Amino acid sequence: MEYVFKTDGLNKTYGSFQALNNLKMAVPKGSIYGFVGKNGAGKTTLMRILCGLQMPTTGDFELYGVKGRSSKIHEARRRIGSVVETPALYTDMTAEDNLKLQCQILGLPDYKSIPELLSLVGLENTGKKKVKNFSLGMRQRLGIAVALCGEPDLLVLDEPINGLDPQGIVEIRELIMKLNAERKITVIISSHILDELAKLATYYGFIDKGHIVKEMSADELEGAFRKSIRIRVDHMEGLTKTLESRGLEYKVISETECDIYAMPMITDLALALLEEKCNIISVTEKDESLEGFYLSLVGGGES
Amino acid sequence: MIKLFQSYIFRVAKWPVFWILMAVGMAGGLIAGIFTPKYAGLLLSLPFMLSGILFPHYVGLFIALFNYPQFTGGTIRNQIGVGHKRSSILFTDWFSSNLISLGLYLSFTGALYLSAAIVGGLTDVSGKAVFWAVLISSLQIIFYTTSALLYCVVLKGILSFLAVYFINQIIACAGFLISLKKASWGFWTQLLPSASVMDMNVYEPVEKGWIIALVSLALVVVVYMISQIYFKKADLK
Repeated sequence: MEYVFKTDGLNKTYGSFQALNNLKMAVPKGSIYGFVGKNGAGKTTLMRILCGLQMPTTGDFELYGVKGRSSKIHEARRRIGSVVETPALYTDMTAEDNLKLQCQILGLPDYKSIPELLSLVGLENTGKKKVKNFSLGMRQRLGIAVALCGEPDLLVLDEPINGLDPQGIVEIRELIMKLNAERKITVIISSHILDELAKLATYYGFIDKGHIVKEMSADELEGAFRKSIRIRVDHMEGLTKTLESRGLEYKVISETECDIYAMPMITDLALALLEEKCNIISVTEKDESLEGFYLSLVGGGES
Repeated sequence: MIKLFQSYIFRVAKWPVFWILMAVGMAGGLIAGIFTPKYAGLLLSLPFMLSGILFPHYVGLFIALFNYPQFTGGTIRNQIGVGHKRSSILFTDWFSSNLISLGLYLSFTGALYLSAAIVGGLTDVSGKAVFWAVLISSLQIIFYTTSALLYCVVLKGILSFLAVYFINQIIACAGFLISLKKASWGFWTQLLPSASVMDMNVYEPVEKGWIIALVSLALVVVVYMISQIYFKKADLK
């Protein structure tokens, strides 16, 4: 597998606080790399180091095969577009002027790509409206458009859907998927909204206390999820007695609902329950969520 | 570096406050050239005195409103994130903001001399004296610009904003006060920022102007190097 970004024993300390602790990770080319971790786990610190805003205390990384401490890292960074924390925009300028400015910073010969970028992020009709009058969602989208100037190969997005309304979240998600599918852009994305991340990511890195706990593909993650069925009955005692007699793992959710962590034959179970005078009201198949998997990895707390 | 310079100038050109400052400076120069009494060299000394009194404010306003958001608001990320070297970013910011500050100052000075010449106020002026006066006052402005940029780089948030605007005024006042109080020091007080330009008269060359210019230049270099050393290693938000 080809990797665009790799770290090796990366450490970053702020005073006595260790933000990154011997961090090892690798981002496969062409993936949407979902970066999952609690507040303060080290996600933003890593992204800042990748973008050159901070220096690692010890350890190193490779970006497109160029070492982070090499003098050529600046050239490798020309292949990145990023939105770290909040979009970096000049609020007293229009969307178009912000993009023109970024084109100049990149040394692009013309502004031909600007109409397409504005249209891509749905800001083609903002005209002379200043960025200070934009909604949060519009700013996020403009931030992504600025990051896309110069056609980067790697897009780094730190919490890009924070504070967005449901419509905005869907728009950003579709945009990221489109960029990945059509332009083959590798994306590193962090988000607290894990269900949303689960709809996007093709690869995951779980970080806790500055350390990567696990890296896996979306397929591997799906395989690791514990499948369960949620069963609703009118007599919980009868159900638990039946499940215990069959040695099935379960968790009682309410007086009428229970999750069974197995895939029993429903007909057999129904017949057994009938003997216990327990009626099945409904049965639904249920996948463990990304959040559940993450919590099982890092042991709960704020995510 | 040229890319960064172009983007800086693009931003300045789109920034209304710059044009207002420029217009106010030029209008002020024209009015002063016409209405300032033409005796005792006051008219011709005015730009140099103002470079020590007014321009620390002008520079403070400019850097606080224009350069400060780049460092504190995070737009500098767009430059670093696409591979520009920190040293190039700071140098371009320093060079460009000095160009703008000197542009503001020289437009005022030019407008003043132009209107004074039209109304017949420019007589018996020594070219050599004007050269030294303009050189020293320009170096003073470069010092204040460099110093304002240092506060942008080192301090964060509102502290940086306040420092950019006020510390230059404090340095200017300290320069005047020390030069007044320590009159016995004579020439040496001229080496303090703002103190030298208070005593300039374009009819005569500045005494030991080259020493004052060298000291001003040395101050600029020291402050600039501190900024570069700090900025090279600083963690940015």
